[in-house]
Amino acid sequence: MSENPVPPAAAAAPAELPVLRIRDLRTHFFTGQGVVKAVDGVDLEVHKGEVLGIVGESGSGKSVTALSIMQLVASPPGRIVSGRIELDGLDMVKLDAAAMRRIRGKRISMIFQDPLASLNPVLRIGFQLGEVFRHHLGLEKRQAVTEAERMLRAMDIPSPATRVRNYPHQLSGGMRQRAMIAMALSCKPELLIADEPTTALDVTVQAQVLNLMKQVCREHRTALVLITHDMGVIANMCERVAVMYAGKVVEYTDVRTLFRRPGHPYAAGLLRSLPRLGGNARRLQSIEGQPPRLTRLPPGCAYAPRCPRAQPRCREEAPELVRLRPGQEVRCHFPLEGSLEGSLQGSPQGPLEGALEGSLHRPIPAALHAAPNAAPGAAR
Amino acid sequence: MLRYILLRLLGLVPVLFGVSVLVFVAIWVIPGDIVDIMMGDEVAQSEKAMQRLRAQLNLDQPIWMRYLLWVGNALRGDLGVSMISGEPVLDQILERAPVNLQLVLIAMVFIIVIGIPLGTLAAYKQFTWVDNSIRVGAIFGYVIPNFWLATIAVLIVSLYFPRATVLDYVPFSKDPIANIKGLLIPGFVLALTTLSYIVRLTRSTVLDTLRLDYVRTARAKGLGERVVMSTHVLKNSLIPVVTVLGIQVGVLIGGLVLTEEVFMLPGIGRMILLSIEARDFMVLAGGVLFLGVVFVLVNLVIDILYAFLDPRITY
Repeated sequence: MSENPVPPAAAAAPAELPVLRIRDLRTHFFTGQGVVKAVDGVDLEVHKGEVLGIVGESGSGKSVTALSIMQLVASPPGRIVSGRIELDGLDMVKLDAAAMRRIRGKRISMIFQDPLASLNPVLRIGFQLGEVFRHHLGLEKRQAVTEAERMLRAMDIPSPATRVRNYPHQLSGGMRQRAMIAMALSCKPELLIADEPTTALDVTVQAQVLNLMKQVCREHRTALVLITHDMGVIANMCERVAVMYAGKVVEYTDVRTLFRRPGHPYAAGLLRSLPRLGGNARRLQSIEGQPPRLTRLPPGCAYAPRCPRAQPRCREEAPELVRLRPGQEVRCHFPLEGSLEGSLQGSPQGPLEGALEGSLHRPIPAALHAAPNAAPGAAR
Repeated sequence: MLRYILLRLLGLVPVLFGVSVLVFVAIWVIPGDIVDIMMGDEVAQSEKAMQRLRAQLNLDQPIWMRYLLWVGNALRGDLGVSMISGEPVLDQILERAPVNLQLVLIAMVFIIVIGIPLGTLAAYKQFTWVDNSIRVGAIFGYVIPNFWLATIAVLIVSLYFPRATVLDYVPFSKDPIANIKGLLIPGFVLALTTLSYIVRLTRSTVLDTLRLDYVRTARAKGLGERVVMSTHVLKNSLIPVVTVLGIQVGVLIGGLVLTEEVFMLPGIGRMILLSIEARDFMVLAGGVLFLGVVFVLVNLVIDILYAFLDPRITY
């Protein structure tokens, strides 16, 4: 599918050029065991100020998609085989290394999962944050550290003057991730990619960090790509969601539709495996089986071996991403038509709103709902 | 930091005690009568002469007393006198120590200036011909025996560069340039084993570091590869390398004995060898104790350096 047969749902949105437009991205890893098609034909779009969630199991290709955008896929063995990744219309796949270095950290930034591992243990926080200013804005070392201090203050980190002289191990987990966010936002990027930014954090801190990200992105109208496996985070942070499975987007829709009327059986399975408050305290549902091995994908739909609705056709013919409803695209021969509870055959779940709220009834989303629009000392 | 250094210094006391006991036991608790060995067959073994020698060496005292006397004198800077020449042992050591210091320093410079960059280059060019040649070269460098290389080096230099001064030691005070020139080849021979080891160690630690998350973060900031290498990768990779370098000083000191012998350098290694041949036990004990103390002190410096490299070390 070199030309996408279906116009992406986001195309229906304003005619403004998207900040990020990915077309038919394929990133493969050439290993001794064969070619791993980690990302295999992904189309995505993110507009200014929009939050796109990418959700999926480990190995679904969501992190590789993020690294592909940054052009930081380890090579060898990985390589972007084909596709376009446009930043404001500029195809970054074609850029040389030097041009890409001018974009990284300046126009696109990335926040990683484990803030302790992502910071250099032997360099001071101020130095590491200051590097961005020195590299992209040509500041002197002293000035850069002063700017780093200013960024830390903007992230509500107490006593930033001390913190810039600290090493990463002297900061708490939440503070480290705030420092990472500060680093990522130093040059006011157009696009921020956050790869499971709260997975390694305490639940109580997760809310603060997500809140902060949401707030600063809103202030600068920074587009945010949020990668997570946490449906609660998706529900509260994102406007649009791409569900990935085995290197492909299997459902691409807005967050409301995803939670009410998921079209792909896998998306429905993910929602069903959410723990819920209220309703029957029955055994937690899960998706049977394991994600497929990417070196040996079945010829048909990659989800077919685990899919409760699979038909013979699913095992033979790979489905394309097609429009199910306006603003909802699904890669399935037999998409779910009704609302989520209609598709839950024989399961005693309460109403869908319960499902949504159940996932929200945890510290993160609750705190997010209560998020004040302008926290004191917010990013400027 | 000061507290850390003081604690480390305090920790030296038991270590140095252990070193002195080991040296004493190894040399003095040799089977047979030392006086017999020392006097040999030729000397008329008059009972009186032997008694006098025993008293002079404190051999009539119990062993713990002998140890205390030896250590007590050593602490006051008196390592006894040579049983052959009657010269104070400490004077001999101090006279010869500069040669050793120079040799070890030259070897260290070779190891650091060649080993670490080569290892880093190999890691950066992993699995290319550059990496492969460096790795194969390092294996050869590691397995070639010191004495063989030393002999071959002497042979080649004497045959093909007759005007080179390979076996004539020139004191530093006389002609510093000729002195250093003369020590380059012995220094390299001494360095080679450790050098090869450091190449491989640096390669693997740099490879380990390159895989870490913060290197990815550095790249995500838009930093160039050279900056990523020099500021983010190298400092972290050097922490284990520095530790090993400290331990390898021991290997270098061991190598001194052989290198000095082949290149006929008047260092402590040669002094120790001669003292073994001549059964000059006072000199032997003093020399070994001196090298042991130097080794311990070098590792103290390494420990302190380590704390500078890695801020996570608590002191």
